[in-house]
Amino acid sequence: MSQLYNAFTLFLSLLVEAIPFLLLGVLLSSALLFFVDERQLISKMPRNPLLGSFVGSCVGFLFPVCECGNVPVARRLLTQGAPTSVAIGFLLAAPTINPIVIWATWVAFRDQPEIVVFRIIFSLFIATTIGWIFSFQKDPRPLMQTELAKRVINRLTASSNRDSENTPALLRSGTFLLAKSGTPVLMEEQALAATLTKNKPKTFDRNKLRLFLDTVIQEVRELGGMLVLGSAIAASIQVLAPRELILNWGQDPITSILAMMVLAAVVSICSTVDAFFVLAFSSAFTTGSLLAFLVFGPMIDIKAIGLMLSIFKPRIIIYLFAIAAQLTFVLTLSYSYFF
Amino acid sequence: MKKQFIDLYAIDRAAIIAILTLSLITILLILGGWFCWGDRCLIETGPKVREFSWQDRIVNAEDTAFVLKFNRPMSRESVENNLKITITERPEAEDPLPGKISWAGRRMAYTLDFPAPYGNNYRVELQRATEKFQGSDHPGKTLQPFTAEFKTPDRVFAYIGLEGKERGRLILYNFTQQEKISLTPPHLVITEFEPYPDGKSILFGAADRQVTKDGFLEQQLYRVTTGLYGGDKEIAGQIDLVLDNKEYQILKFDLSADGSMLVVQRVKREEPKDAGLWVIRDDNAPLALNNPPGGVFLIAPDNQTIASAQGEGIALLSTQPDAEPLGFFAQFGMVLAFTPDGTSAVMVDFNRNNPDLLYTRSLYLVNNQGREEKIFDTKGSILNCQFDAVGDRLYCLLTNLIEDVNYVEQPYIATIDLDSKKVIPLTTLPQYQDTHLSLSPDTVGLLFDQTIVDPQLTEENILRTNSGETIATGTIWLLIPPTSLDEMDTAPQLEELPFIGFNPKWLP
Repeated sequence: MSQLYNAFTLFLSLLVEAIPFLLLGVLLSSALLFFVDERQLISKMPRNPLLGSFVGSCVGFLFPVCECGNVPVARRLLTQGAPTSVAIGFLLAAPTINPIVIWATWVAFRDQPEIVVFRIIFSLFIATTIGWIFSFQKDPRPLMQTELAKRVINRLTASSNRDSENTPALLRSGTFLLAKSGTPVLMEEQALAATLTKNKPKTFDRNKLRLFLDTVIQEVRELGGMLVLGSAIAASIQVLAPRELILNWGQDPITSILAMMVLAAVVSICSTVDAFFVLAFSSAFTTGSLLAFLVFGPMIDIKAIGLMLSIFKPRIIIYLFAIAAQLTFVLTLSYSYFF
Repeated sequence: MKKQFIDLYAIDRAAIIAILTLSLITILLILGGWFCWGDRCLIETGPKVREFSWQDRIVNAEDTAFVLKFNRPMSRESVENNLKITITERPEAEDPLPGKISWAGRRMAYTLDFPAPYGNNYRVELQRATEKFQGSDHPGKTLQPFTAEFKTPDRVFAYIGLEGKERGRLILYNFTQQEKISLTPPHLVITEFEPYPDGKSILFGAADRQVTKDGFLEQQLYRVTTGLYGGDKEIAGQIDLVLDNKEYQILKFDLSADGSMLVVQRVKREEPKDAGLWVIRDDNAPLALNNPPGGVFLIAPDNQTIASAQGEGIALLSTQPDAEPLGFFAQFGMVLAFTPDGTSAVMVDFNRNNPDLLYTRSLYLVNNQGREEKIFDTKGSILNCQFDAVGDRLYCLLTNLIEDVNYVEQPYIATIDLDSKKVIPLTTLPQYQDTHLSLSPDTVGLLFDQTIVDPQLTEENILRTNSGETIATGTIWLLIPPTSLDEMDTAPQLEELPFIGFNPKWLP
């Protein structure tokens, strides 16, 4: 019974920690949709796969969200037609490569600045590499869940219509949009229209605000559900496989890295505070394994897998997980051996 | 099956290739540690020392501890048992640097019991230590052998020469290299000097040899390079003027413990009433402190306070201009020395207000909270005291009053244990005419001088004792006290050094 209580407490603590960031991410992603001309933004994204994934990895500096907040933004980037490399780079690196997380890591590991430096370097390297690997897939739709892929299709269709007619005024027809508000497919269209109107003389548009709120609510509903599910799974695993058990696996440089990676995935702690969490293990573990925790945790954890399932097909998540895990292992073990 | 393969998207192919490639690299990394030839492996997988804080450094008496940083959690026992420190030239010397070990995570600190003796090269070796992870009961991989070296500075002291061409010049003698050089030019006669804490230069007061009238009052302050401690030997003896005496005559000066501040007592030539302390920070222009006039003074190690004899007490003055005095010890007449950490000082109470102890002097240890602790009373004089590097022992120049036909004061050098307050005489001296004491930074040797005055030598205007008599000649002595008070049965070694001079001072 006490295990159930523990699981519930852990579940709640994970939720309480994550929900503000999820909300922030949703607000940011919705704001991105309505207040930024995504056509301009996306047209400025580099098309070169390596450069694209690197730029995507660094965008986190503009959106200081942790691993729950980056999912909505990455989702939005993908549905708006950003190159896959940019969206994947952002998804993997944004939780680490942002000012809040870097500062928190620095505060925690002031006496070991190499941890801060290598956390940034490894995260950027891994996110850029995986972004580059994903850039081989030019059409993002096969990666995505069917529902989400449809939105992309609609967006693409709308975009082609727009291009052929080259008359954005047509899309500014208010009555048409209002009549269809509330259904996700058309909301994208409305959003697009709202952005397009933004280029015209600025007036306060009540419709636009409503659309913004509608989008926020819809995203919170979709992603919130996944977060609850992910947190529940993470809490159950933590109760069934306590931290001590995982930590005891660490008996040499290799197993200590593996143990820390498993711990990172299981505890699902937010990247803004994970440095303080792992500080407690700094005397008993190698710097390499601490780095493994700090690099791998923000990319992949059980709670975030739930959220990712709202974007990607399971097979794609397995690829992400496997390549991120392998790269983390190779980089941090090399660090343990050669530094 | 074939159809399925065709259905694979580009991402599937790219991801599978990436996963396979990374698996191969992972296997190579893991197996790399297994391919070994003799001592060498394809990949060295053992733990190693990441940082040794004294690596290839010159370590002086202020360095009390070194830190070894490992890249893995270590078996503390195996590290402590296998850590070996030796003197490179005398590997047979057992445990030359005893100390205490403490741990903080993967860092080990080794705190020396006493400063590392000077003039040696040391080697730190660690082999056969093993890693130990929290979850593991058995020792892990063996440390990659670690060897590092550090050294202590040469034993060097400076003195004012008294013989032939050396007379009045600053002479530097390197005990370790057995080299002697004159640092200052023949035309300058040194009055007083103080080495900077890095030992790379020496501050000195000197007057021109041709000065006839005012003698030492014509001194100016200079700085001379020693060419030691990483400095180039070639640049030894380069002089620059720190403070001239055009407007003000320089009476006394003191250099702060960190060398960043200099306090000078000056008097205006045109207006002799305008006398007082001036502070010079980092070679900036002197600032008048505008304190009431006083006598002998010392800068406390915190650089905030000056202890100055004023009237019949000791005033604590601020080193900031125009500040109010920080305190006044009416009871004490003299401050002799501060502990190295600056928290306490030894002061002399002349017992003027205590009829029971009239003509008795008392030595007190006074801390910065104002707590006074009497160390001992004597009928003789307390002339000079110095703390050892740790601050728990004092070396003092004292006198005994021999109440014979005449009252005669017999000078002697004693060591005082501040815990037990035990005064242990080390040697008696024939005379105490302005005897100067200098304890080596590693506390191994005590230098002192014995000067001989000659009232007939009237042409000498500068090299005079405090009582104004001309110093004719002088000898320099080295006293090596026993290392521990328990060994006081073994007589201290006393040696007359083959130098004619006075005021010997060890360099830091």
